[in-house]
Amino acid sequence: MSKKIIPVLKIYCLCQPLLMTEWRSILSDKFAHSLPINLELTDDPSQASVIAWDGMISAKMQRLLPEIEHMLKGKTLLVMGEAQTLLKDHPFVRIFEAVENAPQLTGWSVLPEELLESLMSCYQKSSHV
Amino acid sequence: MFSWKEFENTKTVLSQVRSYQDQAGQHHVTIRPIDLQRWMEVACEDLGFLMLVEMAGVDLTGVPHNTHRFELTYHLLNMETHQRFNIHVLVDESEVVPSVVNFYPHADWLEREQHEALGIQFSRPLHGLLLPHDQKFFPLRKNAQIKQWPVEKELTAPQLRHNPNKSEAPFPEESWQWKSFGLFSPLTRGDFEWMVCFDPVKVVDSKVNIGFAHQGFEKLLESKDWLQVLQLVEKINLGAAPNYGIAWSKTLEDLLRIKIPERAQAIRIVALELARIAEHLTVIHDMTFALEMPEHRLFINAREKIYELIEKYCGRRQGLGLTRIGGVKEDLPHGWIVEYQAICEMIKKNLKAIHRSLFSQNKFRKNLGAGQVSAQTALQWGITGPAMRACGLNFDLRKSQPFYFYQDIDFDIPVGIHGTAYDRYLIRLEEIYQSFRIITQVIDNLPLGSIVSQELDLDYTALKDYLSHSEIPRTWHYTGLESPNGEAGFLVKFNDSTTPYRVKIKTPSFPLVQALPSFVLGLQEHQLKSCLASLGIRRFELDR
Repeated sequence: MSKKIIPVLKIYCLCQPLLMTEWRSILSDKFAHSLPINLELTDDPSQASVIAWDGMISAKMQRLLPEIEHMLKGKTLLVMGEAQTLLKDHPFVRIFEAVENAPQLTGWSVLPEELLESLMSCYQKSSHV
Repeated sequence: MFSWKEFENTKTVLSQVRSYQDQAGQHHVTIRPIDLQRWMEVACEDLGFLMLVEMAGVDLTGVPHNTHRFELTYHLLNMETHQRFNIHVLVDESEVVPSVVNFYPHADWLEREQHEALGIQFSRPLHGLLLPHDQKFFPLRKNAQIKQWPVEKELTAPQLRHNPNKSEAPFPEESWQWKSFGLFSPLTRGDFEWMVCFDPVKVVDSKVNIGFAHQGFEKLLESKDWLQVLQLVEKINLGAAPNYGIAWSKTLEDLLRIKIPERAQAIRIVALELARIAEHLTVIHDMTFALEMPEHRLFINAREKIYELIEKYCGRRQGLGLTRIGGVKEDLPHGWIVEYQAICEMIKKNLKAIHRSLFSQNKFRKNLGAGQVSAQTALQWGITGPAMRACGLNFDLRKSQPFYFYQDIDFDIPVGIHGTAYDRYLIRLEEIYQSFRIITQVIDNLPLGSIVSQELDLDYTALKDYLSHSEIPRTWHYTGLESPNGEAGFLVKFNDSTTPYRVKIKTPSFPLVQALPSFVLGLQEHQLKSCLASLGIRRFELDR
């Protein structure tokens, strides 16, 4: 009998101070098995297939933009677009112009269910590329 | 023991402009920069104010009757008598303020922060902390016009000295090597840039570069009204959201002398303790996750149960929006207490079993047992919370300056011995049990009555109108609470009663990162990750 191989989606959270506590929730028993894929949080961006980012570029982060753009090559980007509306026209930061069709999270306070939903669309996007 | 009566005699010896005592019993003196060193010497060495808790500068442009351009406030704490003391320094634009790093090393980052935000000159060369070097916008000045930021250069490793005489025994520093952990390295995880010097096995020095998530949060708050600020500050640390919300509400309630109903106080205590349990579970999860131990999932499962309880109470997982000025938004729902009791018993039982499993593993004890931090180091860097208590200092705001009715609750403050990551783990674990003990006592004796102060039981527009017509003291005021990772609070100054003139956010993560070189001294590279996780550094708390 052949054993079914469950695909693994590795996620790297790039600078998400707001959501950092919630990303861990998807590892709990309550949420971890709700998708037909296994989810893994990784500390190494080169291993990840999804980069989750709030898209906020601070004054100091400008220097690292080329590094971020290089990191995003060949990965699926998950951005927090709507959450950044508060920071629109903010003098301290600017918002990264996400690539077209990048899966987006909505709102300031994101629930694990919403994270899972957007991760599923990330998985579908990455498996079709 | 130091008394304010003696202080009144002392201050006549020193030159000072004026002094007063605020409604919270804190003393304030206003001086000129020339007297600052002498005052700091007296405060630190004679009066026992060994900890510099926070420092805030404000641009006084537009304040009626102001005689100087800036005001710098040093907020000091005497940990023996639990008294707080504020030194205000009036500064002109051309004046140089003497640095106080010789008394309080923690002042290093605080002075750099004020220098880059307001352009205040200190008596030592300073470069940027949260903003790129050489920026000239001074964003916290009232007339600041921010254009394009300069691009900062990369952090470079300090030059190592070379062995001047190769024929002699190897010069120890010759084998040292600096290793760079960038913002996206698995170790720093987007929190900061870190250069660590190894000898070549153990850490001998390190340099931290922060400011990558700096949004100018304090500047943003200056343009928001009280109620908007309440919504925003809860997001400083989403994992402990009720702490900042309650701290902000308490600041305003103290200033306006509003007494909140006993039932609201009780519910606030329950919310604070639930948030503490959830945050401690997150930190312990991070420690075990860093050590790649399978038990990490169990801590997150336990945290989910706490979040379910919070969600059942206020509708939001982390407790966002449960506070309102004058009380709380909702009463505990029907059946909540029974559910709490079941979850409390289950988590306590599970935690005991998980701890036994972790304790039996050498990997866990060995990795966390290295790198001792002394109590003196904790004091010097203004460290609070479990990281300070792990060094042997018994200080917790819930006991030392009890608010609401913490003084009537029977609970213990766990204290460590060596100041290692293992001590911090044990303290967090014990604090979880103590928090359950507190909540159980509170709900067993839950007072009856309303959940909002009668005078403030208004809808949003009416409340806003009420607050805008309130007489608010225009002096500095500090309110701090014991958050899961240490003291968190606000040092505020009002000019009129609609928006804050200046809000300085006191967060526990800021001094922790400043003191990071002390915490990792003597550790090996594979131990750094778990040590970092044990501190509970929150990035948003760091970058203001």
